[in-house]
Amino acid sequence: MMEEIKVGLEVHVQLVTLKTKLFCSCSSDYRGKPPNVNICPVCTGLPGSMPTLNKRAVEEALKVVFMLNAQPYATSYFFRKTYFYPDLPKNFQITQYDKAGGYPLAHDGSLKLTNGKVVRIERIHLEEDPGRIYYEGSRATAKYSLIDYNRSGIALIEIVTAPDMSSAEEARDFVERLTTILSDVGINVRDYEGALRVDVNVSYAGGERVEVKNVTGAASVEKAVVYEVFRQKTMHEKGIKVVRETRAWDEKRRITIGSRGKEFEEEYRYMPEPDLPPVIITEALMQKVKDEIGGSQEERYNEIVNDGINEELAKKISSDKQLYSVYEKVKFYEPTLKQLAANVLANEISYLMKRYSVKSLPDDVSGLVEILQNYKSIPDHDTAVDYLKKWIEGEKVKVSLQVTSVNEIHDDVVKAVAENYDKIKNLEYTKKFEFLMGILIRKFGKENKKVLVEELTKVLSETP
Amino acid sequence: MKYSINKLSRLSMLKIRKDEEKMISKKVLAIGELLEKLDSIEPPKEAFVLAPEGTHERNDIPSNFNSDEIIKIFNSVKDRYAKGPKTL
Amino acid sequence: MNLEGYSLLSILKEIERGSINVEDVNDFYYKKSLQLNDKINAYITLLKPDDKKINGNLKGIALAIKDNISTKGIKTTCASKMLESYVPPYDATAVSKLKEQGGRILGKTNMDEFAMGSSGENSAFGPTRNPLNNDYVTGGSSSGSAAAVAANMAPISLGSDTGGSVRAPASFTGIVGFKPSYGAVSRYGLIAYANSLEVIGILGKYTKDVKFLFKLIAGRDPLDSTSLNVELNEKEQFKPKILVIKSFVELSKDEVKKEFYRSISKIDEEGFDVKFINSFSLTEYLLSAYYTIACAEASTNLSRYDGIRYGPKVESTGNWRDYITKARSFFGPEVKARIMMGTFILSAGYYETYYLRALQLRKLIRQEFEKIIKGYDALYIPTMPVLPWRIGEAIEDPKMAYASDVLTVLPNLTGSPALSLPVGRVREFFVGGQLIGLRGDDIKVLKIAEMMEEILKVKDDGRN
Repeated sequence: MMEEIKVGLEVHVQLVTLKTKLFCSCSSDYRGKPPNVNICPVCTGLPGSMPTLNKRAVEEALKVVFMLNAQPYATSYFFRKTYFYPDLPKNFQITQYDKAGGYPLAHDGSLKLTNGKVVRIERIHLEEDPGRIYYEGSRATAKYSLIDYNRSGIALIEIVTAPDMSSAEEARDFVERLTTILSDVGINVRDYEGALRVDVNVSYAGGERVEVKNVTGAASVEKAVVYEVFRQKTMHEKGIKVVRETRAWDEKRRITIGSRGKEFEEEYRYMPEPDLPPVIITEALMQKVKDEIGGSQEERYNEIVNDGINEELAKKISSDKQLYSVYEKVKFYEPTLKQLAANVLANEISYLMKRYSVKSLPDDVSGLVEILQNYKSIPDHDTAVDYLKKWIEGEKVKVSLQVTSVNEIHDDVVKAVAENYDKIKNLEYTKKFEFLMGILIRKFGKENKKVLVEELTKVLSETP
Repeated sequence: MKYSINKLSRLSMLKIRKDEEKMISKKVLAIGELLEKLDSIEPPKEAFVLAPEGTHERNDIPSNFNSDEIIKIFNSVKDRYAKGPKTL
Repeated sequence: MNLEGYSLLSILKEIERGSINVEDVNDFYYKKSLQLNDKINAYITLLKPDDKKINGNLKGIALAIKDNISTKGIKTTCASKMLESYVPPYDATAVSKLKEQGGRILGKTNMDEFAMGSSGENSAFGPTRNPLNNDYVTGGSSSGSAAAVAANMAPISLGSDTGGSVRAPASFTGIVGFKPSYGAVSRYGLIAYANSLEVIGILGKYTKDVKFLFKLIAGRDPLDSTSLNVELNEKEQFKPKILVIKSFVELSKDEVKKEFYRSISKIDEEGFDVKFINSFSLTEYLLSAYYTIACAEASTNLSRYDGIRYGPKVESTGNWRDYITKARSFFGPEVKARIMMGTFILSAGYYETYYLRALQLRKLIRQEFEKIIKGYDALYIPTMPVLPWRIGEAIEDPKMAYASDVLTVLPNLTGSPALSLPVGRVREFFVGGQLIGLRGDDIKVLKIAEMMEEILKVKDDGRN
């Protein structure tokens, strides 16, 4: 009997489309820059500094809210969440809270997994990222930490799910589906290191829920769930009670590690942020955001339908910027392939991208075009999918034609025998056969060996 | 003792010296008396936020603060990083 | 040159006329400061004014700035060992505005540590002594700013007012202290104690000087989301309708009461329309509401002081918690007490008991205030219930210091403009009278004060 596994996720996503931080005008473009260049009194928590909300952050966050079918609260508030840590300049984080009279940005959304299950999204809110701590050499022997505030104050959107996932695969799928949805509205987290971090909550057989903090990437989320379920299951079988705690994820060793202990019970002492007025979401703002998402998608949809593609395929392709981009390129390359391209993109390629966690489709579509041009000749669906997988993974693709009937090759076999008659007439049978097979395989490919053998045998037996 | 100086100082990351303990206790109790007066106030039916008035008007346009001016005031710096205590 | 008793405006007029030059003006105040500061301890930092030519409305005049207001390149200590060597890399907006108008900084004035106190005795750098009698307190927390003006060590000064911190020392030193409406002056750069209660204020010898400076620094600031524009234009002359709350007056000592009632007779004679009501229904809760909200906000505002970016240098031994705790030991006892009580108020289980009740109270107090002031231009009550006490007298009894705020906290809770001016004399001291208006009625309150000044002529030096 399978004991119940419950997984809930708290996903932190950097709003990478913004040019400035959440509460100050420092540039948000910090990757690859020297430490402490994008800083100001606000994001370093200097005395006397005050936060000012980036209007655009609300709009970008609302795009995600709508894509996840969540409802915005007309009024939401910012709160101070107090905890001391060297990467947090004010020793409190400005975030949103859903108790004590607080309201987050949005509530009650959903995301459908590939297997059809609907995962509920309890709430979505805005908050700021802390800075980053580094160590010279080994952490164990370092005498001090090095703190970089470039990331401090970067806008995050936090997406909190209900514990609706029941397996590591579902958790992984959620992150992958979410990543796709984010890129649909331009938030391409795949392109930015550390832009999507997950706190994974796992409970086994109705036991206590354990939180694994700061897991980066869908694959790691899956591994973290696998390990944590294993750990909790083992304890359960031994009769040891699982303790409710926060654990860290060790990417290298693929295990979760307990933190020092429960003596310091984290108490955040939430208080409304007195320097920030409430966030007001008006009808006008909602419409503006919907237009921004929809407009471009609608344009793409109409264009594809105008190409003669059916509505369902058009909907699928227009909603994913990657699929759309490839569709356009193939269409440009070889217009006659557009129907087939649409079909394959919406079905096989979409499936492969999810299945193999493909970050992005190749810029070069020539391999795909080759596959599509020879699609009818590919003997079976699995082989076609293999070719597509090769292309997606960036490998060079050469489609060998499968001979489907002997009629296609009969003339070529006869011709090969006739052209080489003088060369082979004095060879004994086996050598004659090998020689001619060599030529025929070079022409038709190893895959067709069986049918070539059959036909060559027949032709040779009819030849004097 | 309702207001545990030990617990509150620990939560507030403060150290109370022996020579100031008595004085601080007096102040804490005096403020405590003011707090206790609130007991006779009818609590609101629902928690609420008394938010400041004002609007959010900042556009997403970067502006540069001279970061060197801030690094200059850091207590300890190494290669532009702020040097801090070791975290486990 | 002797500028004792000269108003700032008359000095500016004389400079304009060419009969005096600004270097001599600045020199007068600077020399006076050098002469008296050892005794009075008004300044933590005193700067020799340079003789560069500066244009603008302030014509290069040097002013005193309270040491919790950020001044670029000039030490800003909040009278605390925690910030003993902190030099801000930016100017507070109010300071930028003064500089833009041709103002200079004469020095940074002494105060109660982190603005927590009502006597001027809570400074890490020694108490400020009252210029009227050096054995007595100046009042706080803008003690140095008041003493400097009263002792002719500065022509005018900036302070901050969270629960009476501009008005109390103004009253105790016999000068004018103005607390603008909440938000009327930007708080950006004001080192925060209690964000929802405080505002930068002005202290001067004469109301017209204070009004002049107020207009130079008022106005919405994009860096402070709680700031707003208040009406700065003066309307035509009017006959002020004043409301006196008897129960507030009755809270005062006899010698204060007597002078206060005498002032009422005088203004009544001169055409003011003075009415009385018996009480303000929530008087007994004013201090509770104030201290609950102030301590809660202060505890989070002061979390940032951890010795990592700025503040005292701490040995990096032990773990990071020890490091932070060691750095935070540099706070004085009053600050520590308020931080701890703020932590208590925001703790789990107590938020509803205290903080929410205080918010509820605040809402009720605002409603009650708006109800009773309807139809009147201003409330008129004493500023302080007592006269200045001897330095050291209140040390053993913190309740006494807290209780002295009872008449000044109301306008901070309602966000109202409030002004204290000398309205009577008792021995070497003055009795301060307090005008409180509706939020936004700053100019009206200033105008009424000017009229009262004219009528009462308490400080008639003849050099106005």
